[in-house]
Amino acid sequence: MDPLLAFGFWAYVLTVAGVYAVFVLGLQVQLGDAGLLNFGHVAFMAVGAYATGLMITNGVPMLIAIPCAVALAALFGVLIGLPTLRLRGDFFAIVTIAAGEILRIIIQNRQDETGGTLGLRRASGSWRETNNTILDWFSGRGIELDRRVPLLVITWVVAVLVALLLRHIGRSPWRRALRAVRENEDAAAAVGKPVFNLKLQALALGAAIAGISGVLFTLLQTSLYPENFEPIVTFIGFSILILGGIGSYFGVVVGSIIIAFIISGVRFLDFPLEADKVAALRYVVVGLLIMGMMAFRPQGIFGKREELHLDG
Amino acid sequence: MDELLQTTINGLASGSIYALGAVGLSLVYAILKLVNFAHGDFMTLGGYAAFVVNVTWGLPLVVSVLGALVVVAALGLLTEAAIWRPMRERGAGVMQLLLLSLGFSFVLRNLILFAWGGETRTLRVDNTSSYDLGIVRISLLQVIVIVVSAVAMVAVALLLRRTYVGKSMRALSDSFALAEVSGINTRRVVTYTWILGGGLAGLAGFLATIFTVLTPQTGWVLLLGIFAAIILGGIGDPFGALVGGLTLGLVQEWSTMVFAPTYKEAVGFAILILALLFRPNGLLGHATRTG
Repeated sequence: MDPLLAFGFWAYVLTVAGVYAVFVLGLQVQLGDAGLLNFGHVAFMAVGAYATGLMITNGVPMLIAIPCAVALAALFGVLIGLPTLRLRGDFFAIVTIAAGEILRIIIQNRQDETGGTLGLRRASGSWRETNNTILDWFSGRGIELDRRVPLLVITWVVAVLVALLLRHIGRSPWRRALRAVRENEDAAAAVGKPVFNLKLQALALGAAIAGISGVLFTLLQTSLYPENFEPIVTFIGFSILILGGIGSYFGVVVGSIIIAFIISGVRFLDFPLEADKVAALRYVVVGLLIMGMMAFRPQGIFGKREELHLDG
Repeated sequence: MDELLQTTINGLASGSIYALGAVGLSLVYAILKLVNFAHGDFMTLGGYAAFVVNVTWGLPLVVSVLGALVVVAALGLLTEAAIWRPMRERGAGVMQLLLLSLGFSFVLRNLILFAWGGETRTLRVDNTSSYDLGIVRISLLQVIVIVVSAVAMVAVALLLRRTYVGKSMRALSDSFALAEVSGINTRRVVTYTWILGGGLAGLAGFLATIFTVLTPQTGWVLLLGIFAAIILGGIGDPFGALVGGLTLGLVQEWSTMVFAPTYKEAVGFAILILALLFRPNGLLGHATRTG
């Protein structure tokens, strides 16, 4: 089989890109609008994923489990934000990373409930059957779809809806106040803006969006493992944000596709090297991309320089 | 009581490694305002340098320590010349440098993975001997780690307090601009900072290698604990970083008397969060410099 022609493979890579896009839209709200450097973003994705998986495996219907999982991710955002949002930027980054690691270690250790390192099996419940129903419906009308297409479409529809929602919010006084906080916290407070509440709302909104990406991830992978939620996922998210551009939703989409292709898509290239060496080179490329962007175009491909606040 | 003493010894050994890593990272931060996310991978490279000298070339363990020190210090100087100095001269902000170092950590860690593969490596070291001290046992490796770290720490303290270079470093960490106008050769001090910070990272990487095992992830995994140690001790204070590292190691080991050992890391991070909430200026309580 020529992988270049293997439609299912590319559908998978694009679905991964879509999950990343949703994940990074959450980061975009936090860093782009509110100036919050959240290095523990993957924790919110983990809450969304494991909450979905645990509810579904315990018999809660999917349509109830999913919104609950997203709400729980937002709640976790509030929980993390309440004690930490008063900290300085670099402290906040390190505390959020630590909070994410605590959550992952707990998931890993509570093997009886979460499956631990053995994984949470059938976390997506009856999604496979639903998927087959959708495919049958189309083939009944003479359209034969690859089994990966429904989730691909759903993921990108969700990504576009989230982006549209954010753009809608973007025209609101709320986002203007948020950006005022980002530009100058003291000045925003002086004109009566509730600085702390605004930051907390941005963190919770970003967390809810990451929770949605966790739900999509669960549907894609069907089994969940703690190592899916290591800090590296957050940093891949940051590479996407840096590449696409802080402040640009379109940039997030383009960045996600580029990074997903580098990380998952180059498998089809036939390197004369062992698999782990090729894997290593992929991340070398990601690292060089981050460095190159930071050195020569810190605002990203589609970002605006005046949107960028990297002075800490 | 026996358990308390035993976990104390274990904690001192693992805390020494955190402390060595933290002091190096803290020096670089204090003087260059660089939150170096690649510091853990600097340590890993030190471990592999020692591995090459000790196992590939078959030279004695003592020589391999020197290999680790030299290679990592050289890497520090190289990145200073190629990345950090040019970026500072272009007026890069703290977060820009932080994200740049994050990118560099990806590159370095995966080049190490590319060069040596993902297998677990060990040095040619006696890892079975231990001494029975009546109520507790201490292994030869624990003795090596604690003694070597203690010697290195005393040397760093003397360097910072007694020598001209050390005093210049402290002056730069107070105010780069003031130090420069008062005639200190800042460029030379920055060079010494990388030699010292890189050398300490190399030493920490060597000790982490003999004390645990060496993989391309060794240093990266320790990095968050090292950040915790620095914050516990008060950012930018090398002496505080030492106290923070030892505290972290001790609390993690003591926690195994109450919780399962698999929660050790989580306990360390919980301590970090509590410390930030209640003592944001560090355990020693210095006023934080801002700006």
